[in-house]
Amino acid sequence: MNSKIQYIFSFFKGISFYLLSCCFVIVSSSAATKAEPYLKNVGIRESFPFEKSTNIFKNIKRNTAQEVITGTVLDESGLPLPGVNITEKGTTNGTQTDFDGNFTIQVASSEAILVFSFLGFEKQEIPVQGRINVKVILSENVAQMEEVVIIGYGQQERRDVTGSISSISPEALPVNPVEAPDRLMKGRMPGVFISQNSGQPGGTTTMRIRGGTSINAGNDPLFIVDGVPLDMNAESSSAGVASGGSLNPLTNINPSDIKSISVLKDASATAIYGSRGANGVVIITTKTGVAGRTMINFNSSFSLQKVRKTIPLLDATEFARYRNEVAVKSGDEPIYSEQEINSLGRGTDWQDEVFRTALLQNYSLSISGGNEKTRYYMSGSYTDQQGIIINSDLKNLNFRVNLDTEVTDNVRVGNALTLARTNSDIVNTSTATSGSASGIVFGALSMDPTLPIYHEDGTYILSSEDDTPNPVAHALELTNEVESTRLLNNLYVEFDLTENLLFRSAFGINLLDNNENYFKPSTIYLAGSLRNTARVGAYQKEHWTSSNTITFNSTFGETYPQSLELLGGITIDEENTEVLRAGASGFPTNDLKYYDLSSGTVFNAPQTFVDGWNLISYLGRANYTFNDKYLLTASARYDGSSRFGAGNKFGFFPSGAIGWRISNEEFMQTSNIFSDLKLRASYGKTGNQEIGNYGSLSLLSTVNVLTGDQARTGIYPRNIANPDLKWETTDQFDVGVDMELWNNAISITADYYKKTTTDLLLNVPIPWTTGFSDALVNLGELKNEGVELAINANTIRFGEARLNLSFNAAKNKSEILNLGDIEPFFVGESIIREGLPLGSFFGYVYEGVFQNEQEIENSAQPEAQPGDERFADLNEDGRINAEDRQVIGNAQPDIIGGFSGKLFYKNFELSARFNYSVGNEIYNETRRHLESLSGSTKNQSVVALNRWTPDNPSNTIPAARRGRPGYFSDRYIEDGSYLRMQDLTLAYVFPTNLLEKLNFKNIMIFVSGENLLTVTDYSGFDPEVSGYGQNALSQGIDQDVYPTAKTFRIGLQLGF
Amino acid sequence: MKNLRLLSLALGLLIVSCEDNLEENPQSFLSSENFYNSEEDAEAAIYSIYQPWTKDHSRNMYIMNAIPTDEGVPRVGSSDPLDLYEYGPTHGTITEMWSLMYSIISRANVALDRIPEIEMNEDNKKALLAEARFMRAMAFFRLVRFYGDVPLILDPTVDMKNVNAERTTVATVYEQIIEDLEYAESNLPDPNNTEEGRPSNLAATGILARVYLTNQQWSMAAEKAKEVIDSGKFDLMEDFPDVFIPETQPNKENIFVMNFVAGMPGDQQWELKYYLPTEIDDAVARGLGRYVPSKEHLYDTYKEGDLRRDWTMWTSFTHEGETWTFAPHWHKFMDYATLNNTDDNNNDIPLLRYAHILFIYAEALNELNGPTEEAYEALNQIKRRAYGENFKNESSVDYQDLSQNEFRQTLYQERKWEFAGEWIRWFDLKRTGQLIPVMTETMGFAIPERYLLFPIPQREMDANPNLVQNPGY
Repeated sequence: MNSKIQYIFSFFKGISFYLLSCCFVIVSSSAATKAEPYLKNVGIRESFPFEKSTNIFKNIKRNTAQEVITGTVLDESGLPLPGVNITEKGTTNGTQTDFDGNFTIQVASSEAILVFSFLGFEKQEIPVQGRINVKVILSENVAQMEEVVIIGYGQQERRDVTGSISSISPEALPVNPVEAPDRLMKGRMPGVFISQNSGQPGGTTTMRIRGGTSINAGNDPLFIVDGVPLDMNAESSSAGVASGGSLNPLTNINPSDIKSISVLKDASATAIYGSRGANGVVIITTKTGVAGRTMINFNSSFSLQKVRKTIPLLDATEFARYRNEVAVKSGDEPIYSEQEINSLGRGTDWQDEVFRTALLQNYSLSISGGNEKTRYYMSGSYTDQQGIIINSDLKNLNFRVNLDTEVTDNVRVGNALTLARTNSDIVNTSTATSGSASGIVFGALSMDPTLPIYHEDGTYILSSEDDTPNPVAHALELTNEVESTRLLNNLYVEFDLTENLLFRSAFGINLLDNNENYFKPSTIYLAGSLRNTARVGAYQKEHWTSSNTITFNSTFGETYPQSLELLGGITIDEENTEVLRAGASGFPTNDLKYYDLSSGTVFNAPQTFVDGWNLISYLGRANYTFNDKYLLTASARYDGSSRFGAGNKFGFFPSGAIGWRISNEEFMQTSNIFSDLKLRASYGKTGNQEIGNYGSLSLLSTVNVLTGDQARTGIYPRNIANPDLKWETTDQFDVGVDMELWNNAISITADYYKKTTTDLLLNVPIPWTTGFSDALVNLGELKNEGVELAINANTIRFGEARLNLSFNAAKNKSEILNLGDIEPFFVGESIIREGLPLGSFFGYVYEGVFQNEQEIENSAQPEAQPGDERFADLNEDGRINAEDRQVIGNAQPDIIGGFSGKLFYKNFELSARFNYSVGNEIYNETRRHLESLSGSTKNQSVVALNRWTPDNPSNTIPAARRGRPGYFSDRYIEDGSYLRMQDLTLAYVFPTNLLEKLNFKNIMIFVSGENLLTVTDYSGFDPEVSGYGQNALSQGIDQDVYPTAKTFRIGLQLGF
Repeated sequence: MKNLRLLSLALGLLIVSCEDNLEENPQSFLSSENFYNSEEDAEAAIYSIYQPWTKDHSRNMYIMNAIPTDEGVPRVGSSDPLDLYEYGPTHGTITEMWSLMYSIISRANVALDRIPEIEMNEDNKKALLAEARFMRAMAFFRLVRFYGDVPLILDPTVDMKNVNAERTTVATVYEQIIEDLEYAESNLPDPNNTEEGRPSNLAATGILARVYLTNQQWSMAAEKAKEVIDSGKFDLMEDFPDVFIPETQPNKENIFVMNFVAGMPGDQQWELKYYLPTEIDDAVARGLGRYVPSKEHLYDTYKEGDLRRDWTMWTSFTHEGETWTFAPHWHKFMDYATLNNTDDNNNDIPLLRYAHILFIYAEALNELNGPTEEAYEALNQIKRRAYGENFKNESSVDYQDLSQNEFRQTLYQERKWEFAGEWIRWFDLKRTGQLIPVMTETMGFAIPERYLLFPIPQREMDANPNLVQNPGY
């Protein structure tokens, strides 16, 4: 009860802080406005840095020859066009129209020419000719779409792209993104599977582009943030001290800073990344300033988060009766007397005690602008997120400075810097990652409901009779923190060597510093000792990347205009990691936590570990277009990685692609259906080097042992060396079509692809009789084949309302083609076997419940008892053993995708985004222990009420009894298909006249909800689940995972 | 021109990037190419064998030797399939036992492969090789009794060829065990020059006696037991508890032990943690009460005056005026100094003690010639001590006038009482043909024949197509 009051209190504290800070911003900015005339009088104005185009000063004419031009931009139907780019010709001076199509620009003279450009509209040049007010009508562009997409080591106009690339542009992003960029991508891009692994604030996601290409090597796409690779495998970036959750590296990127996200999918696009391209590449670029346009944006939001659902469990009375039944059946005395049962009532609802309504606050401030020479974008953001499990949270501080400047006419220098600091309290949830039963979610579900949280004297009840720890005590008392500092920096210099030769050299660094702290006080120590235990760990990673490229660019040909772009370069990457761990136990007091290890009485052996790898690459690409009709791309990368055997360090990854813009052919000119139609096809090779280091070498491990009362160090071989270790190679064929119909009212992109991965880097389980459990080999083939479709309906109008719709779907089928001479092998309950996709669950087929002795006699389970589970004797040999297992489900979805819509009406914007997954199955391991029905002190799901008894001859739920062998069967496999409303937002944009009075460029308030609606048959917390995090072999397993939240949010966006 | 100069400078920098960088240089690992050169390296190779030997060892041995017998039951309400005789090839302990034993064998094989090339003191080299062979024999001796035919692996695995070994017959495995132990017997140092936790030449002799007894090679068993007895290096401790408590370890009774010291690196001894009753206040004793002896089939079977019962088990505890009572719990490896800190304690765990040699001697003689005087003396020494008598002098509690079969059955009973909780019961029941009848009576239903062997772990069956599962699983 006490804790609930605390939540309510902290809720009000949170919301009042939020409202206060919003008021502060509004009041202080309008105060600044009011103070402006006085400031001017006392001469402070000149020092005000945002003077050039801030609205505040727009009425003040400077003593130069400059003219102020105002105006409105409309489309052909007379509706205002927001976001139109206006530049003064021959300069970098520019601005944009506001929401009502209005603009103000200062020009050098009354003879200036203004250039109006807007995506999807014809560019127009308007001479000012002494006017101070201009009204411009832009007509929609039929032929061209000048959208630029980011590709590897460069950018390209969308119409010239021959590869398969999906991208999100800023317009598509939510009004006020809060969570990591991967969440923004969900459901927007065909063929990009994104699943949230856990609801821990800052928890990881699993991302697969066109299915996983590998069995044991990495399956995560390569992330490049402003030119610097960001390692997505969070599990590997840990000192191994804090347990129970990894932080998503993308938490370090402020989503408000993102300018674009490009996903490179086919080999033509990814081969330029060679050995790291096989799983696709995600390129994130961040914002830069616009010359002559100072922008200050303040975003903030406040959210409430709740668990999506809870699992119905037995209450104390039901639980006591259930346990009595099992005890009596086993010949023991009843555990609870009738009198005791009557006094139990509902007992403790442990889920209620562990989950909470959590608060999430987010503030972000950015300033951008620049002049002809220099542009800047600076931002800072702060997020304070409580988790929906008590005592889990995340505090995140992000800073960014992006700076680009022209040193001379032909030399440009720029830098993008991110500094992020994250403090996180992690609760141990999954039994899979914690390796023990101390997971909080496990505890919330399994803890004996007849027990209270506290003894009468106020101390914790530590555990149930069978050692399920008290989840409240463990969540609240255990310290399990990760403090993470990330620095991402990329410095580049560009020389225009000649008019069409550009040299670019970039040096990037990615530093990660994780401090992990763990303290278990003696007050919650379970059996063993009264010792408190503290551990600290430091994980340090530095990855530096250097790239040097030369680009040749030329257009030529009069009758047949042609363009040629050639790129060549060298890149070097090196990564080093260091781990340090220390620990002690037996502290005289719990007060010192982990702050003074030397005060302990028993010391763990300190551990250090260093590790590293590097990569040297040569790359090249040619893009050629002929007459705007025929497009040709060829690229290649020659990569050397330290991770492979001496003779196999280098791999060659070529690709080629062709495109045909049919819409530019003569015979299409008469058709007015297609404004653009392009066919493209590509083929290429990419590689995968995401294995551990040193796999080709024969290394030794050390262990501590004790003989003669002395500590000794033992040394033994840790692996079977594989000097022939080499690249895993993925061949990908892609054919696609891009079309725009009816003046780009509808655009459609469709792709078919087939990827075959050979020489799979496989960690094959080998018999323990060798002394090893597995060996790393190159073996076997894996195929992914699929189709993707994306349809966008751009700007449908109903009177004053405008509507944008988009839809995408992707179907992928993966299959292991062969495993060489290796036997099928198991990873947990999944089988890896030829002809099957990864993630195939392998187990017994449940056929119901034995009703009587006669059924048992005639069955393959002669030792069963009535009420036991009955399994199919698949090989009909009259007994149930390992031979009776078969594939009983698959974790990979058949079809994934999403759809979204955005409706503009007057000053309102309503947007909704859905994503869906069809045909995947989930192994609900949580339910397996909630329906174990063994009569132990672990609580059971309400399903147990329907268990078989002689009076309740259920054929679905077996009887409760001790010691039934725990067969893994399809009883625990569930359909994981779902349709989810990821996001629903209603925003109100303040009208121009009001803004002018308030002196703001932009004010928007919004309410939104995340995860509000999910349609699924899945019985667990959430169908988006992975108890084993990003592990490719153990997807779709729900094992007491931190449940995802649903979120209600209000927010404010201010632009000055 | 200026641009070209800049370009050439940049390109010059590029070319400096040398591809030698791709050479891996692991700094936190040793590489086997430049190891196994010195005497210290040889010793380190031997020490590594003790890690799988002590890792979860006592728990696994307890679970497989006590739980499926009349000696122990898991705690009340538990549902370990071993206790219920419903276990199969996926049982965790059965699986771990297999993998740990083969880790021992593999590390011993590496030592036996690499140590001969090392230039070092030849006597010491032989002693280390003997130690590796002793440990390999210990692992195979366990495997062959638990699982029957097992792959006989005698060389280290260095590549992926021939990783899928077939099962070798029990008889062939025993030949190798005996050969290894005989080598160990002739080359290991004597007990005076052996550390706690490591084997001496007489440990090898004693284990040989046990191997022969298991195979019913009575005269060889008697001969080897006699060698240990006649060596004069070992004897019974006067008081039964002194065998087990840290204060009197090492001692003259323990021939081969697992060595534990609280707070030292290496694996922790955890007996107390799992055995202490949960009834005792947490502040006084921190126990899980997870494994408890059978009241009906063990505690209540001790005869009046047998002092071993109350050291082996306890039913109450008094501390600072407060008393807790509970069902019988194990007490044999008690370390009162670490009661409330049971994460690790100081007791060495005896794996072969002098009492065992006496039992082997008595049993073998009885099987050969009936109850001879020497057989009586050996058995009676143990009984005298159990009843608080001076074991060296004839006593009123002495057994006498037993037929050969009576002597045999009496000896079996005495072994049960003497070694309760010391991971011998399942081996004894199986060796003496009592497993099925005794467990059928204990469990109250017919125990199928298949339980005479544990199943080959399913994980191993899945990984190795050349393995055939034990019948019935």
